[in-house]
Amino acid sequence: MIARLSLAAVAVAALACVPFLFEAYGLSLAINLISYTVLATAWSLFSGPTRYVSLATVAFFGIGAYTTAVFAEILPWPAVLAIAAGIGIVVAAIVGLSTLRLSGVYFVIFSFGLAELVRQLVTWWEVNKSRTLGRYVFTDITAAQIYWQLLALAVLVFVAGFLIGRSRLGLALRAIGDDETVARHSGIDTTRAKVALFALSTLFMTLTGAIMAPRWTYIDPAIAFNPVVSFTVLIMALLGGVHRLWGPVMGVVPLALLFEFLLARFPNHFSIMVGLVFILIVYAIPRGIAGLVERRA
Amino acid sequence: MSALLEVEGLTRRFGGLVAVDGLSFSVDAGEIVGLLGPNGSGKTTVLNLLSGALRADSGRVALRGQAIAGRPAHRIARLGIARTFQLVRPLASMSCRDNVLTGLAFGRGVAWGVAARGEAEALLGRVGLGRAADSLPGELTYIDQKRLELARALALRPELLLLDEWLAGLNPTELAEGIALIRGLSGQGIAILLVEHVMDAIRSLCGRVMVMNTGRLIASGLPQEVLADPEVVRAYLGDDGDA
Repeated sequence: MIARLSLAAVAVAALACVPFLFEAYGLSLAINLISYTVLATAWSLFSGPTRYVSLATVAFFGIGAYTTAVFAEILPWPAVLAIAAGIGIVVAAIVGLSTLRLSGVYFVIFSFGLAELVRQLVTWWEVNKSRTLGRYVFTDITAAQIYWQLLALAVLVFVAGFLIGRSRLGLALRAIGDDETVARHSGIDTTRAKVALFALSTLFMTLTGAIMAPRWTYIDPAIAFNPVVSFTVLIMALLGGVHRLWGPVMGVVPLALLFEFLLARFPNHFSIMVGLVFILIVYAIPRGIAGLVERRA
Repeated sequence: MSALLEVEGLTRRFGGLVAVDGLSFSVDAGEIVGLLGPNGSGKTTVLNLLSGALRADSGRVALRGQAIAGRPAHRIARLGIARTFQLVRPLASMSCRDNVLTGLAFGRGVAWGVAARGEAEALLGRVGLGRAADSLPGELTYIDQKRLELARALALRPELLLLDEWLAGLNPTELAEGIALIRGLSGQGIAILLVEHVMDAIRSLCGRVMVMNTGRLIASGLPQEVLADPEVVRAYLGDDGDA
C-alpha cells in the first residue's frame, strides 16, 4: 500500500517536471495525453461499473470550454472553474434524473443527442443573443499552467476512483451494472447512485473543458462540442479497459499517439483510419488492455 | 398483536388481463405460508407487487401496520421484505462475498467494512457456501446459485422473505437440506411466503397454504385440507385431468 502510494507520488512528481523538459510540441502532446487521461478515466468511473455507455462527454467538455470563453476575461480564474463546475453539476443532475431510467441503447442515443442539443442551444444563443459566431479566449494562462492544472485534475480523478471503489457507492454501482432489478431489491436506491456518480464523472469532464479552453485562442460551438471527442474518449476507455481504475490510461497513451501520427501523415484519410481502429479494438480486445494484462498475470 | 403483513384488495391488471384480482390475506411473524396455483394464476405477480417490482393498481399492503404499496423496491427491501427470483439472478461479475455484501450494505441496519465481510461469510456458511466466498456465481452449480441468492436476501435482515420456487429443481438430498434451512429461518422469526410446486416441501413446511387461480384466492387453510379441496384439484388438473 505504502509502496504503491510512494510510486504514485514519484510518478506525479516526474510528470510535473514535463514542462521543464520538453519544447512546445512535446508539451502540447503531453497536454493532449493528460486531458484525455482525465476524460477517459472520468468516463469509465461512471460507464465502467454501470455499463451505461455515454456519448455526452463533449457536452460537458464544451460547457466547461464555453464557461471559460465567457468569463475568463472578467472573473478571476478560480471563480471561472467554480462556475463551470456548478453548471456542469446542474446539467448532470437534470440529465441524470431524466435519463438514467433509460437503459441500454436508448441511453447511448440520448447521450449523443444531448451533446448535439447543447451545441445547438449554444449556437442559437450566440447567433441570436450575443450576435457572435465564435469567441476569442484571451487569458494569460500558459501551456505549462494548463498542463499542471490537468495533472492536478488527473490526480483528483484517480483519488476519487480509488475511494469510490472501496465505498458502498462502488459496490452499488457494480450491482447496478450486473442487474439493476436485483440491485433495487437489495435496497439500493439505483437512481440516486447513478445520478451521483454521473454528476461526479461529468464534473471532471466539465473542468477539463474549462482548463483546456485557453489552448484555443478562438472557439465556436463546432470546436467546443465536436462529437469526435466523445467517440475518442469512449474508444480510449474501451481499449484500456473499464474494469480497472488504471485501465483507461492504457488506452489513452497508444491511441492519442496513434491519432497524432495519423493526423500528421494521413490528414485526408484520418476518419477512415480512426473508424478502422474502433472496429479492430471492439472485435479484437473486448475487455481492453487491462483485461489482457490480467489474463496473463 | 396484528399480523406482520396485511394485504387487502390487491389488484393488478396487464391491459385487459386482471393478473391479481382483489387479493386479501395476512402473514404473521415467523409463519411459513405457501402460495400455490397453476401456472399463470398470478403468484409471481403477487410477489412482484409485495416487493415493489410492480405497482398495484389498487389495494393496500401494510408491513407492521405501515403502508408500503406503491413504494419503490429499494425502500421496501430496507423496510424488511427480501425476495429471491424464479430464475436465479446472481450478480454475475461479483464474488459470492460481494453478492451478499450488497444486501448487508444496503439493507436494514447498514453493515460495512471488516465486520460486514465476516457477516457475509457467516451467511454464506449458513446456506452451505462457506468455501465459495471468493468464487464467481458462474462457477457455482445452479443449486448453489440458488443458495447464494438466498444468502443475499437474508443479508437484508428481512422480516418477510418471499421465495419464488426456490426449492424447484433440487434433488431429494438437496430438497431435505433446503427444507431444513427454511424451517430454521422461520424458527428465527422470519416469516416466509413461498410460491412453490414441490408438494412434499409444502406439506412439511407450511402451516397454511393459499391457492390462487386466475388472479383470485380460491382456497386457504391447512395444506392437507386445501389440497383435497375439489375446486383446487379442478384448478390444477382441469376437468379432463391431463396432468
